[in-house]
Amino acid sequence: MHEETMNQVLNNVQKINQTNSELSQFKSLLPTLLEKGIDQIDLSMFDDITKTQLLNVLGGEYLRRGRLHEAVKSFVLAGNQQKLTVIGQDYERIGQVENAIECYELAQESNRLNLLGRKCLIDGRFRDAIKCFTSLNDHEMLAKTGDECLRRGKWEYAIEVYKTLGDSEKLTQLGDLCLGDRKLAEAFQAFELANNTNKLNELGNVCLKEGLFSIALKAYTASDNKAMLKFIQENFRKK
Amino acid sequence: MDIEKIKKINEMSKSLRTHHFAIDSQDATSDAQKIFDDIIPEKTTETGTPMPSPSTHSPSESQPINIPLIEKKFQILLDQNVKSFKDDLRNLQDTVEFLQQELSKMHQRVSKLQQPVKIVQQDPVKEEQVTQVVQEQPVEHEKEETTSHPRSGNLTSSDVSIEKFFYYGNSK
Repeated sequence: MHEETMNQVLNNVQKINQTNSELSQFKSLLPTLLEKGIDQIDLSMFDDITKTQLLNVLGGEYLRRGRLHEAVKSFVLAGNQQKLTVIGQDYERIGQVENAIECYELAQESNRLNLLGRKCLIDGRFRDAIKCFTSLNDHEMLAKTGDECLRRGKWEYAIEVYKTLGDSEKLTQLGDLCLGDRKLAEAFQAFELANNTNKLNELGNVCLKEGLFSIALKAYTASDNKAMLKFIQENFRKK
Repeated sequence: MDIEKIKKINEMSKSLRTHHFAIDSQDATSDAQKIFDDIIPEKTTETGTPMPSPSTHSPSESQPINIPLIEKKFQILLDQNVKSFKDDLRNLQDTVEFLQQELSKMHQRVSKLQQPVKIVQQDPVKEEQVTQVVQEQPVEHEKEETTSHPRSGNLTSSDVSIEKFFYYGNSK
């Protein structure tokens, strides 16, 4: 048993020495390889451990030079979640929230995503907030975001939120608000997602009154109102 | 720590020193202890079931599967492969174009070389004429070469009489 263990130790030491020598060789080539770019470097000849180490070295150097995009690629290939978090923080610091969210998603940093989502919600960056909470599958915060979007009249974002949540009631409410605000395309989208045929017919009638035949046609098609569809086709086809 | 384990660590530290993996006995002991902690739990227990060890497990075993990371990795690798494939294809296209050009050049050369041979085969009388013409042409060239002179032109010495330039009469 002892001999077996010793052999194992010797093998491990040999492997480590080999990897170290490969790494030192690699480090001397680092500037050239960095210029060549992560996409152009072929590391398929190395074993998984060495490849991971090399990718970490490359990623570290890219990070040091501020080439965050390449650093992300390197650390993704190396599977280094800690470093991805660090890059996410860097992106957050420089105000590239979208990239920061992507990094936190990759690193599975739920806490940071939650914090960033809340911050975005306060700052009125609804798109980023929705992305954070959708990634976390946090329905409660998504509902809050949707309500905030409704309050501020950000209809598109509200539609996105309630579509994700599958909340027909809220979508109908939103559609009514859009209709009141004369945002007919958004109203159609909301009623269609809510699958509310009555509201779609109502919208069709409003559009017909105002001579907006294309939206009216869409609304009647979605509500499957064949009579009104035929009426438009027969009387207003040329228009 | 039981006595058996201490014995094993001591033996291992001795071996480490004999193989020059440790500088002194203290280093050897600490290294042996580390190795023992890392490797021994991997071994099976008395009952034959494998013993779990958090330090020896791969990240995929100890951590939950990170699907977004795997997807992204796959996407990057796919992009890289597509890019290299496109580059290869472009190189191949360039090579084919170059070869086409070379081939057309060679065709042209071959057709040029074949032209006089055709004349010979078609009409032997014409060939004589051609050869005569070819023979006559150098003579004309020679004539031209003898008559025309770059410095003096086509003038003879009688055209430019010295008397036209110098007056031999009495001075007034």
